[in-house]
Amino acid sequence: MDLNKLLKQKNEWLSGIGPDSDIVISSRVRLARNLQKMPFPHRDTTQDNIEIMHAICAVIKKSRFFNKGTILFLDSCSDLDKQLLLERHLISKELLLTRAGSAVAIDESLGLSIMINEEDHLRLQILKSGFQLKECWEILDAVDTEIGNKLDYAYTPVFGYLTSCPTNVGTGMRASVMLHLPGLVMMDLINKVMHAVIKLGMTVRGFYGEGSEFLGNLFQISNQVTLGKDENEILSNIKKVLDLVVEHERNSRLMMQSKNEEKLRDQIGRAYGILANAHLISSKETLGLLSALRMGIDLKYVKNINKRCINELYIATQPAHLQKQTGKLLEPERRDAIRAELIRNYLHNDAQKNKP
Amino acid sequence: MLCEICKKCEATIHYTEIVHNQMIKMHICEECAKSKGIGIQSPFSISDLLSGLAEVDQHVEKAHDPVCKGCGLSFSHFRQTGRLGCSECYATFKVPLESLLKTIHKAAHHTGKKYAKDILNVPEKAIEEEINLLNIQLQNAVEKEQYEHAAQLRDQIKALKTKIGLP
Ligand SMILES: [Zn+2]
Ligand SMILES: [Zn+2]
Repeated sequence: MDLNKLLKQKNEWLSGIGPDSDIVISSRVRLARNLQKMPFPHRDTTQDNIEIMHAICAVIKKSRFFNKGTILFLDSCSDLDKQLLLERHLISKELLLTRAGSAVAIDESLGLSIMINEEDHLRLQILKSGFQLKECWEILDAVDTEIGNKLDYAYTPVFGYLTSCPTNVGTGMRASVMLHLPGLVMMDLINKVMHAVIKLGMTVRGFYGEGSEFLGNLFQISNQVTLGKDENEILSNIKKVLDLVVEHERNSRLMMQSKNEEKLRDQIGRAYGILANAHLISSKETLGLLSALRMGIDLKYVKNINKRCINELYIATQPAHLQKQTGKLLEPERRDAIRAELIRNYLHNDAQKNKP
Repeated sequence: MLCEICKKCEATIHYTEIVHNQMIKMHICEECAKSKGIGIQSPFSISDLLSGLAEVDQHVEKAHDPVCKGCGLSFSHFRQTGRLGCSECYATFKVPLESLLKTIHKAAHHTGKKYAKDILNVPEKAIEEEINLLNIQLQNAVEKEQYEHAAQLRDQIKALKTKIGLP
């Protein structure tokens, strides 16, 4: 199974580098595309969906950009594997439930994943580390053009790219940034700032998209409108909103430092202490403490841990990743023990690597 | 689930409020959300969509429920699910959809990336203009050494030239 290979791959989007990476964890651009004259996946028979899937996969395999990629058929993936793909942000929650005829094409070196027969026939996405929406779009634009030349997209000059849900029609583009905002949360300014963000036409979500909680002070901001604005306008609107949020977050961190630096250092030091020494830790507690530690790295209080280490822990400590690593189903209590051990090892190894 | 504020209406808005570092899950109804104006929520609640659709009703005559020839979806079924069935639905339900799209996107016309293959359906003069535009993009791509992109542009230009009988 290629999934094990996938697990060991280093993904660029978790590297913790790139513009504004103290606050912007990752950038993502996604395009929705459908085939002409074929009913959208939810109206299609299973047989049609399977045929469409194979036709699209054939085009992807032959394309210039897809060199070392993997194609996975969802009906031959176990539930655990699907959960794993979800935790890596390679598929959406919708694909967990779909029947036969869905697939995902992944090229992690590019940060590219293409979902086939999700809500739309095609969902193409690029993930990158830090603030790199423009870079994501440039790659995706080329990928989309190549695939579009070989397939017949559903498109009209008036409505643009046609999608199953009218909220995606037009550009079919959803661009989002994953933000780490501990300062705004601790200074109790997060609601105010997020209200402004929503007023400016953005959607706010948690780490795992719609309906997920704002754990670990992680917030995902994405564009609301897909029609009547071109792709570059959409991206520059997000950039404007993002600049505002980043400025407020930096100010909040400065405020906390000037108000009571000892208390802040203490909180971060304690978070590090628990993560480096705990033997039982829940997923929720982990996300909270990782948030404090990540801020400690940004503020240069903690110097021997890399941000990549924290970013990788966000993913590695999720339930399916823990189970995949131990190779068996885990009771919640066992999971907390394995998670704690994993975190101790990650932090220990990273600190060894960064010894002066 | 009942609204946590009035405890009468069905809760349709779910959001997380952060108060003094504590995250509290709230489930409330539209009315209470409006009157309080609180919390982090997606600006697109279902009610936005449905109020858009209420306007749509003025365009769809009562007792006449159009059905898409492409996929068999009826307009009333679309109203229930919010999902269209195929690309032809956009033509079948054009008038009511335009009004819905104005509600959602504050616009009803696409201005973004054009689909290269669609250009083949427009008149000759427009195709010539498009070829000129693509030639400029091609020069740019070559200057920036984006050879893959350049190759794609060359393919597009060639296809367009063939279409209007240019060498
Ligand atoms: Zn209420
Ligand atoms: Zn239809």
